[in-house]
Amino acid sequence: MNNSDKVYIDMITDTIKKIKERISNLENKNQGIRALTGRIDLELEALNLQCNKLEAQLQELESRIELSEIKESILDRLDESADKNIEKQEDIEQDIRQLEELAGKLKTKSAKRKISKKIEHKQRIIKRLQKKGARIDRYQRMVLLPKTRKYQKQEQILSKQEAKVNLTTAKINDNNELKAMLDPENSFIDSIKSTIYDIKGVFYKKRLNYAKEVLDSMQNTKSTIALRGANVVTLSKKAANKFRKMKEAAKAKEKENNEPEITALVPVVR
Amino acid sequence: MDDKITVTDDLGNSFEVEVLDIFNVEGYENKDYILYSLGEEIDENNERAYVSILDNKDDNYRLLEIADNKEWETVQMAIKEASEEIED
Repeated sequence: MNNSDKVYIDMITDTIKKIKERISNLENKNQGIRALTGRIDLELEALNLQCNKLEAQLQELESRIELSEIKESILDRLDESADKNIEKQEDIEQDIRQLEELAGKLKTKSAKRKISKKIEHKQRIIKRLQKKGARIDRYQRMVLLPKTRKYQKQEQILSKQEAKVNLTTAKINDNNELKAMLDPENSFIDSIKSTIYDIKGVFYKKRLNYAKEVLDSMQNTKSTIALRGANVVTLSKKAANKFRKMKEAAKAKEKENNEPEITALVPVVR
Repeated sequence: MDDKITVTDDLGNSFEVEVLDIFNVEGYENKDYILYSLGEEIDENNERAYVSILDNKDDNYRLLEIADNKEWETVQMAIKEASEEIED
């Protein structure tokens, strides 16, 4: 590997690191916004259901009010009848008093009998009128006025719900706008990731190609490989296995392509 | 062909080692380094490995100690970075 390659690789590696950080930050932001929007969607659904329920209740109450108004009108007419009935009774009672006064002044029995008969007749009329009055009273005012207070309260609750729904809808619209703003960034992230994979692929390909060349040479050399000194290092098994895996993948890829391609080792940016 | 090579120490003893990696490091681009294992386990999570300067003159290979402290620190850092970069 020559120096200019190494410098180029270092520059790219540095850029990759910065881009990865940016990607990570944006992905975290995205996740947060998606979670929030999800919650708001659920809240909105619940509020809409509540609104529908309350609107149904209001409709029922409005129907009752309509029915009540009809009955109210009927009862008003009955009231009118009752008033007329009472007025008539009073008139007749007045007639009876006048007839009784007249009877007191009469001398003859026949004249008195005639007046008595008239008085009896009037009294029978009064009795009939009283019965009619009783019938009117029996048609009790079934006050089907809406439980006005309950209706007003329902209306208030519905208004509050509608306000909540409007607020939540506004929040969702804001978040959707924010999401839309992030969409171009998401596309940018995807294209950068793709570029990173390509760049890392080139980097690792060169690195492994070189390592393979040297190893092949060492394995094929006729000379002894002299061990004159070494530094000890502790490797986690995980790390050691990563190196092994890298080589295995390279071999598998070579076998597959029948050429020294090692793009299978392109690491995934996590 | 597997990743093993046979090395011979200065007492004439030969043994096989498993080559894990051959690489360069920044600042020492004119040198190659070789990371290899004798299959020695330290504990259940760690194993011992060795790093040497890989010297090659006319197809004669020699594995040498990294004597310079700064160079050794740089090599260790490079190994750590390489293992982190590799996909799990």
